[in-house]
Amino acid sequence: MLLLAASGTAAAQSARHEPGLLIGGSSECPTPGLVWDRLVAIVPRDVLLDRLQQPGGAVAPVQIVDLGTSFRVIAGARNRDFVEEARDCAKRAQFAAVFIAVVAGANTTANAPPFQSAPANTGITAPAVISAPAPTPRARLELGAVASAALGAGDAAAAPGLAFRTALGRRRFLPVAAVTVLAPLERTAGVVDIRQWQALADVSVRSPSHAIGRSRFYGELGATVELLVARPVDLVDARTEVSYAVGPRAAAGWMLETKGRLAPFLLIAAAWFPRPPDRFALPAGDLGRAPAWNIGATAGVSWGLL
Amino acid sequence: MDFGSDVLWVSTFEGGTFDEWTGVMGGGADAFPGPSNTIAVSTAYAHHGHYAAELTIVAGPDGSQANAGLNRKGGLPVEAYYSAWYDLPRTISVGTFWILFKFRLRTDAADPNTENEFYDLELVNAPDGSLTLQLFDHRSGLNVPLVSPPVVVPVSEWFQIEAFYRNAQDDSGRLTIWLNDQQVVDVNGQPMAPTPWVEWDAVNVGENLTPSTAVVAIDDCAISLSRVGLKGIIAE
Repeated sequence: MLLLAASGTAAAQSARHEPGLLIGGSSECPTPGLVWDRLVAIVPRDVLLDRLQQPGGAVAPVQIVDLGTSFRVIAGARNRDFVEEARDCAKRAQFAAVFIAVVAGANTTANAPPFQSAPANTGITAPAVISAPAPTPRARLELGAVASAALGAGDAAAAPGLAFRTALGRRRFLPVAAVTVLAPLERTAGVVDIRQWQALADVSVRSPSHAIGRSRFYGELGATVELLVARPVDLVDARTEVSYAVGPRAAAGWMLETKGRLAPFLLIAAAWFPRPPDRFALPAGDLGRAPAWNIGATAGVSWGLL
Repeated sequence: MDFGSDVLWVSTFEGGTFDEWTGVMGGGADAFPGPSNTIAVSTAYAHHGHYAAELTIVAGPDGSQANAGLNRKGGLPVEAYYSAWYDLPRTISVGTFWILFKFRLRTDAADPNTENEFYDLELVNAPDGSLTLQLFDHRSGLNVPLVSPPVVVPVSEWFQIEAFYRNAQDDSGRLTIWLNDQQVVDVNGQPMAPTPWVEWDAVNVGENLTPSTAVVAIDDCAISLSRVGLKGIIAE
């Protein structure tokens, strides 16, 4: 169908008018074809062919790159990243088409190098998102203060701590790894008072975030390993014991988007340990199991690495 | 996670001897006058494991005291829990007294010649003939009032007597006794012995009993810094 835009030419020339030769790239959302469909709806084909086509060019002059929660449009010497975390491909195609149209409109003379002049008035206004594109970080390093509570074995006990988290990649689902170290606290195990240290290491997958204004919300699912070091406070023959537990973890996070690389975040996480360690002392005997639940809140700063 | 222990000393008799008593300083196992009064480690009774101490006395109506006992003298903490399990094979009609559990004192901690009786936990017959407890204070020469109604001591089944004894010489002194986890007496807020020296005895001591031969089996004895209780575990 696009060949009609160059009607009257030979078949070999018609092949040059395929959208794939004008708009390329491996993007799946949006696909180059979908961008082309939106583009020809707002700019006449003849204008596009005239202004985008690069004689003898082996690579399509417009490239679409899918970056997961964002995408990039490269049009000659210009490129722009668009943040669109919902991966609405139709919406993305519309944004890309508008940007290409604006850039293509800059070439008011056929002999001028493509995309270097000021844009012509195409009558199309770029969406607001285009005006404030934020590049998607290649990785995020997050440092936060933690308040963690152990629940499920007698009295609840809370401890402060520090968490270091990292999220890698630009894909829709991000792998996240974290280490949390809590301050020692005193609690009761059965009838024995103990002093306990706790550390958590978790691996999770972070879901695509949903944006409301500058707020971005996301979820995490994964697994946690809990390391427990405990020593009774007042037993006459006290032993320091080390144990661990493994369980699933879920979290919900909020991040405030900023123009810089640093963004504040808040994360609420819960971990469940199906088989927490058994505890024992003489003469009390069985002191019950360690807490099966760990609920924590982390507040800190996320640093985006480009 | 094994956090350790508050148990200072145990005797389960599973070695088939009285070494757990006689092998520690101030410990002993003895019966007198002989030969009718005896002590033995026996397989005829056992609370846990295979062995228990079998203390037998013959306390006839002649007015003489018969003794068989296990004791720990000195070297004991000022404040601790003392626990022992008992089995009385049959009921007895108590004429003068029948003692199972004792604390003794010294007026001079360094002088064995100053040892004397202090508290005796005894068995007495209720009006229906069943056995109940009585705490006799040698210092005052009076019985200490116990809980009412009296707690019945079982026959032919194991029961636990546990005492918390804080041998303080000021008003923080305390003696609390439980029978099968039920508190039967709490002497609190008064001085105990004149010195911190403590003797604890698990015994079968009687006078004028009917029938005159009385057997008491004792097992799983412990001294601990925290409550042992019925579910307590004194050895791994």
